[in-house]
Amino acid sequence: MWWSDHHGLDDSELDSRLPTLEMLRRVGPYIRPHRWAFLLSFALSLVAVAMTLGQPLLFKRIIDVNVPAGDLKGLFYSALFYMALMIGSGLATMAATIMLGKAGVIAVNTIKRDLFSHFMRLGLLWMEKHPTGTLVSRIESDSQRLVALTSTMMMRILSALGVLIGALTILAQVDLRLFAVAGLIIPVMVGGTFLLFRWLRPRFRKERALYARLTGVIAEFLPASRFLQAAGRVNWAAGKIRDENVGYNRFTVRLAYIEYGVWHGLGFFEVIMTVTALWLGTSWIAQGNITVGALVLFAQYVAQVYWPIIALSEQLAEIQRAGGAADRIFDTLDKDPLVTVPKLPVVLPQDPGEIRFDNVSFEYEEGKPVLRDVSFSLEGGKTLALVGPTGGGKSTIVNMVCRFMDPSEGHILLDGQDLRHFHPLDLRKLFGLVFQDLYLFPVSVLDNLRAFRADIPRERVIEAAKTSGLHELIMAFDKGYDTVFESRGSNLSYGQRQLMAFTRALAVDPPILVLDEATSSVDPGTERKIQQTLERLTQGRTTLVVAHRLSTIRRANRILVVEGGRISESGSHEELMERDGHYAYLVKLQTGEDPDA
Amino acid sequence: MLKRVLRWLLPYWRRSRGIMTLVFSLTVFAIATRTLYPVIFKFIIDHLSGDFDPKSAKHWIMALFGMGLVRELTQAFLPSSRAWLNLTNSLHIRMGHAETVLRKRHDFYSRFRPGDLVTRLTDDIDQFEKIGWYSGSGVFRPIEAILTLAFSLAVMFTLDWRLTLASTLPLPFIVWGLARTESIQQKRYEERQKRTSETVESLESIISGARIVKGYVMEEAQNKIFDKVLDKREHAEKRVITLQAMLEGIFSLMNQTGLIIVLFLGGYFVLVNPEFTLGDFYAFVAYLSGLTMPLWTIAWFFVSTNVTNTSVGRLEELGKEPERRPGVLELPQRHPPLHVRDLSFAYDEGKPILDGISLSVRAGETIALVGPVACGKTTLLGCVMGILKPQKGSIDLAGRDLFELSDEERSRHLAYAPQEPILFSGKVEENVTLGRETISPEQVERAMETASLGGEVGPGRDVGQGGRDLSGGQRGRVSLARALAGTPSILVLDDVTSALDAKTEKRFWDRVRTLLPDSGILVSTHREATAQRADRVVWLQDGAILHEGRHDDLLEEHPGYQKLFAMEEND
Repeated sequence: MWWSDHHGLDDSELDSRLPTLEMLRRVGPYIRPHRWAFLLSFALSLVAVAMTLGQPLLFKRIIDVNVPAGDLKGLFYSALFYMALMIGSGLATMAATIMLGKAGVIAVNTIKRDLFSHFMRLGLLWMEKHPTGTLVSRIESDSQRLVALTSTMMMRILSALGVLIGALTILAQVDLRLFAVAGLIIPVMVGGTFLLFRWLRPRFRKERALYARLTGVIAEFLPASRFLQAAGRVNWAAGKIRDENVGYNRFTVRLAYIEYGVWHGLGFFEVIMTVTALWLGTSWIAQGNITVGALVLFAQYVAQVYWPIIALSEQLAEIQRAGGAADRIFDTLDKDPLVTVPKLPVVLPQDPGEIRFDNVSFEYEEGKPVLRDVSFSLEGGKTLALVGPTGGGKSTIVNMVCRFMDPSEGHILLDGQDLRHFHPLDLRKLFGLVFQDLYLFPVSVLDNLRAFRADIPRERVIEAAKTSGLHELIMAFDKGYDTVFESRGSNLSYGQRQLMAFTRALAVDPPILVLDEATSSVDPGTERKIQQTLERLTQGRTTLVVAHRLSTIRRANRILVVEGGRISESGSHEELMERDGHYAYLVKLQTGEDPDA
Repeated sequence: MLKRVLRWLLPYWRRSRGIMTLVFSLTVFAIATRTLYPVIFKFIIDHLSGDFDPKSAKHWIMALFGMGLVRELTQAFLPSSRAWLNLTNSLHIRMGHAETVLRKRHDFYSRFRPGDLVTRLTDDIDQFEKIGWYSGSGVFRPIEAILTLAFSLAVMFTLDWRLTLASTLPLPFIVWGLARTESIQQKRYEERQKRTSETVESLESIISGARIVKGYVMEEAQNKIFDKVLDKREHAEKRVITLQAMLEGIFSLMNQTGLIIVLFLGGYFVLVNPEFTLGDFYAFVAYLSGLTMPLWTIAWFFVSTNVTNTSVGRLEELGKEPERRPGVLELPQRHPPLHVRDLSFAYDEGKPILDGISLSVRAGETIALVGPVACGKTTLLGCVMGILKPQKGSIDLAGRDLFELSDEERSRHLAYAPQEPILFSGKVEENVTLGRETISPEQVERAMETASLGGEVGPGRDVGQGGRDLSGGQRGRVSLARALAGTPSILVLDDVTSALDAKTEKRFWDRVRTLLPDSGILVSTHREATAQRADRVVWLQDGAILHEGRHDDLLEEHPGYQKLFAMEEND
């Protein structure tokens, strides 16, 4: 918790559904390559614990044996041995920490790499279903937490148990009565700490939720500042932020007081133990059946067992959280890609021609079809335009053509061969895609434009940029084609980014073009460039386009109106206008004619 | 650097001086009880060994009990009070900066991206070892450490000054050593931080671009990029681990040399010096074992000052940017006419976006602004709404300069619906009123009805963060309802009707006129149907008024006019 004086208690997430053993079994393969490092560091940390526990014993020897006997030489040896134990335990801890830390880092990164390449294999729709932040945190924090379970957490649990068991064993050896005092009170402390943690966990979760709400209102209001000024509601917005912040503070401060209050209430048992032992010990010394050294030893051990108890409870809560992380990680890794790869993929046609939909239906949820019984064909070299309302099924058709998903029923054929018979990666290489989401990667202009394909020569990219009219703009950048896009090209205008996407398709020069046209309007100059590039791009190329611009639609060889998951009209622009159906209505809307007139 | 950070924090400390005093008193009290504990223990040992005196021993044991109780009590309140202080300071710092960010001039928002602003107002304040933590715990922990050192050394000196000198001999070396390694530590931590951000950035970019990645079969290339990023990070992380473990090991060993000295020398003293008791011996051991943590805390203070300094700089940067200066006047008149006279506007002394614009909007009148993309329509509306201050010319409401009015007063007369609707988490109703108490539930309902929301979305419906639980069209209509609800004198709409289909749009205009018969309307549009309904059309081209008149007249007189609406067809 950032606001408090210690860490490691925050980040309450879902608790585990996987049993701990099953979880350890799944993590096993990531740990196995480093098993010796792990085992050795656990062993070393136990050695360190033993050496630390030995120190009070030596101190007892000094008090009880060396000093009363006036044995200077004995005292010297005791101190020397004490020093050896200290150095030994220090070195052992250092070695264990370094070894475990390094092995842990490598294991975490292996999980990260696995998750990442699995993301790359999983279907696009799966990725788009989850917010980017969730997927990033699955790779970033979940894997970190999972490995912490097997490394630092395990080491802390081992050390804590070592200290507790070791101290109690030594006490039992030294004096059974002292052992009884500790044995009566320690369970109270352990029980209390466990209860405290159980009580705290949901409250930490609430505290995090309140903080998320606070950052949420800030993230909503700040970007809307100009609007709030125009609407005269700046004070209102500031008040809202303040309310959330005050609410968060009130909850968190109260929680802190309760938490530390209970904690130190439990800490008081340490005082009670010491005082009880000393009080009773006074009479036992009088009777001559205990030494002062034994009492000092007791006090020193008691001071040492309190923190292991807290550490144990803390780590047990940690395990549950690691369990949540493990659930999410293995859930993801167990997920199969939406699109399967055939055992013996068919070789792709050299010069792909017709794409045909044969009674294709699709449903995300059973009983709720998005596409019903759609059939059409797109001949090689021709342009087919899809028009219709949002949610009508246009994007589903596009997603299926690129094989981001497969139909629930029916077939999609490329030159008579079902798409499912090709390797999806081979198949996708046939396509050039231009989407509304004009994504540019934070790498060089060159790599952006050639889609990271090193086999596409620089000259071809430059040629493509010249065609789209972007060459001058790119050359004006600091390093021309080697300029790295800052913040994903946000300094470019929307139109320029649209042209970048077209240039990418031109440079890749695919046999089939899939185009999801943007609805946003751009300035007339850019619009002209876009139209010219588009013309160049679609010339003689098989093109499937979700069209919004009338000019694109009119140029298409055939137009499909997709509504409610079905094709309601199909034909050329002239044919459809003549029919005076939904298409004609849409066109009139766009041209400003009153369709109801 | 330390001075700068402390000076920056001073005004916030003044505001929370009550809690500061509490934390300081608790700190002193906690240190006193904690450092007295070993002394009491010393007396118990002394009474149990040597001249055995069980009665006095029991008195001291009772004292130990009392002191233990007080110790745990102060320990319970100290960290929680520090948390209280951290959070209170965070609140004041955040609110101070949030309020100025909300009031900045328009150009500020094009220089600072929203995500960056949010990070400055949250992470920079709230993260561990950043401003909020530093302003309380960060400063009081080293104070506590120094006090612990001072108290312990003082007690040790009274017990035996020679042994104190001998055993604290390594201390200056430890402090010196820690200070020397500070810059190395910082460098390694920063390196790790940089590599971590790099990983997150590269993940974000690849995941958000998933459609392009998959569509163009870039998976292999992305795997390689991510591998490379991770390799660098692994290296940085390993270096931090090694450095941290080594430093911790070495310094705790160095510190323990003091303990060794006590064991040798102290033991020797007990044997040869009757003044030096077994209890003294124990007390020395206890004090020296307790000095490691305070030393670390003091050394760490400089690192966290450095971290905080960076964040303070980031907040200071926000404070330096100029704020908008709205007026304070009120305008009681109902339905004042709006006059724009010879208005020119340019961003940052660049090419003027608007040049010599004059127009009026009177009660009950509808004026449509048309023109190609980027001709200055939205900029003109920004000036009318008081967000952009023109360099030349004037805008007035019934003769009163618009910029002399307070924001609240201006917005009572002028209601604005931007092109991109802006919604906030909460109910539809709250989004319509935005906390304006003068708007009744009936008014909300009527405005929603007019904006064609009635039936489809109720006032109690939750809109989700940024309105994401509503469709694009619904968001636009909530934003419209908001502008309508306050029954403004003049309604300013930026191309909002493009979210409506032709039928709904027709209905919308009819209803608006029923709801607000006397309000003026200034609307920018690409729709011919909208222009047709306007009393007057103002045709903007390259920031200047090209022609003005009724839609039908413009159509007749200027062949180019039609192109504004049907560019797509004529391409």
